[in-house]
Amino acid sequence: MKLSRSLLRKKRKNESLLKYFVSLSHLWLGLLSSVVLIVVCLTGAVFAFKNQITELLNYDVVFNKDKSANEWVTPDDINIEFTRKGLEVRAIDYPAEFNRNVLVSYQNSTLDQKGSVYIHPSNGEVIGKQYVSTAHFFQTIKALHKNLLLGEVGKQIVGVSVIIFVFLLLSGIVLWFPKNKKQLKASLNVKWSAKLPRIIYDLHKVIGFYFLFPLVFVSITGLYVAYPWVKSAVLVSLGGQPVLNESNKEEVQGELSEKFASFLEESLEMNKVEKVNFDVSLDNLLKDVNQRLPYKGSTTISLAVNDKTEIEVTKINQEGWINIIAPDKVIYNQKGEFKKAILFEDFTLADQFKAVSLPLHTGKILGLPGVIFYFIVTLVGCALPITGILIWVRKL
Amino acid sequence: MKKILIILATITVLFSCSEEKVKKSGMDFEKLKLELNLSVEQTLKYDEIIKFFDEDRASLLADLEASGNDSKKERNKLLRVSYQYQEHVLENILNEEQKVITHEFIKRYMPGVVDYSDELKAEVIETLSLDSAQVDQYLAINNAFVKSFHDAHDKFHGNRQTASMYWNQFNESRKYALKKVFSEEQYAQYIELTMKESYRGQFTSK
Repeated sequence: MKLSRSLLRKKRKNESLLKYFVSLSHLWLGLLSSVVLIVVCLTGAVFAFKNQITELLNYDVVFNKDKSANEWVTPDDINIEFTRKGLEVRAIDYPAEFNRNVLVSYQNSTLDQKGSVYIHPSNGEVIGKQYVSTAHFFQTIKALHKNLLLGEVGKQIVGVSVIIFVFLLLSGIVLWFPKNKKQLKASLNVKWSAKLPRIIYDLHKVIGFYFLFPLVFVSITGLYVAYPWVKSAVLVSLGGQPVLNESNKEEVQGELSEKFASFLEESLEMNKVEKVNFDVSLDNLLKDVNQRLPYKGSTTISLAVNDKTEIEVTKINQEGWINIIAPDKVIYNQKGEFKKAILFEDFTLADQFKAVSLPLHTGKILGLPGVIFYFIVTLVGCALPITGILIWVRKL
Repeated sequence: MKKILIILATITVLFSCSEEKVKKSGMDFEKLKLELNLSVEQTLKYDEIIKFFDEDRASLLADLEASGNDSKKERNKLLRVSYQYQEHVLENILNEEQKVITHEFIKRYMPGVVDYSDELKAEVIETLSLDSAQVDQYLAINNAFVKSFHDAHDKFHGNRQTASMYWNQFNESRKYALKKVFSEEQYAQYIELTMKESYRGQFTSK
């Protein structure tokens, strides 16, 4: 009886019909999705620190403790040293600062083995390989976050729960909205001197208000990954093409055919290029990249090995304490001649969003400060259903 | 009420975790076993081989994970080699008909293969008697197909049905391009041959 009364309370005298229905749906939908939202937010909060945790567990090889390092080991020296050992370098990752070691990915074609090793940023001395792997743990966390380990059914449960969450955040604002100045003040602050139930109520209301936009943003970028219709809506609103579906087939067909034609042209050209080993100076390429992209950042050189016929250099700007992690790419042919530069700023808005949709969802887009901020946001996301349930339980 | 909430939360967590076993990735060799109609003696050997390779793959994947280079591409490469070797070992206990079923099954569910198998592509070149210029174009067209499909990954990521739509759409572009390269007869043969792997691009059925 108490339970049904708490779930279907009567409309208060001075309460508008809208607020009454919003309040009821806020309660019902909140209870329905709470457990899923807590799991999704908690796993999201943990997953946000995937890189940091992995790097900390492998601290001795990832970070350089030698403070005297001030000049980078050149890519040509690295290449020569690995070739001497009978290994073929596939990629070299230069960090932005000397406090990290350089990561070299290599292969041994005769033994069909591949690996990665950290080397000293100045003298190129081999430091070692990552010795602690977190892949399995984070794969489980990611699967819990995406589908509660329930496959396609779980994915739908999470998707619907996140849609409900967006509704809860927006309906929460309707319920939060103060009637006058006095109420506004109370709605913006937590009364810490009050009793625990009141503090819990204030926390639910106040943090929900302050974190409304980041939570809606994280939810929508999550829905963007899960649902093609959300992806279409976002991309179209940013001036891009929608995701292919039954109803827009003819509209999108043209763009896809053009894409195919451009790849075909590229492939036919590639056929003409014979795969020859040219003696390319990677040092010169790196100099050229730094002239074209004159900012401090991490740089990855991917060599033309295996079926690749181009050398790709990707640079990510890391100037300032807060920055957008958006990759710029410079491509050279096998002879080391400049082919093209693919700059993030030249992308259309929709393509930019597409390229960074995942880091936008995880907070990685803003580097460590972003990840920390998102961690707080997801903890708040977790606290809202908990405080909501506590408020409801007290009313029983 | 608190009890109800605790029970609900516990059930959700337990239910979530219990599904992990079911969601074991890789080929479903129990399904293949049903298709093979094995004798009692074959079944014993079959189970032994499957168990051995399951354990071997788990250990290989653990090593790969420890190497810090366990990208999806690398994992798939490792799995492909393992499944091929497993097929080779299984052949020793199977009759001709069962070998064909096993080969088709492993080919169909080979991880990381989005396009027609290399085997089918080679068959196309041979059966259609393509000249060297046609071979170059045929390979370039297939390459463009794979690149286009991968390029659209951001759009269909996480949605198998959408992935199938993109696959079919690019396959139409491939067919259109091949029509220009092949003679009418060759094109008809191509369509017939690719029917053998008509399951490609149907990601929903996986």
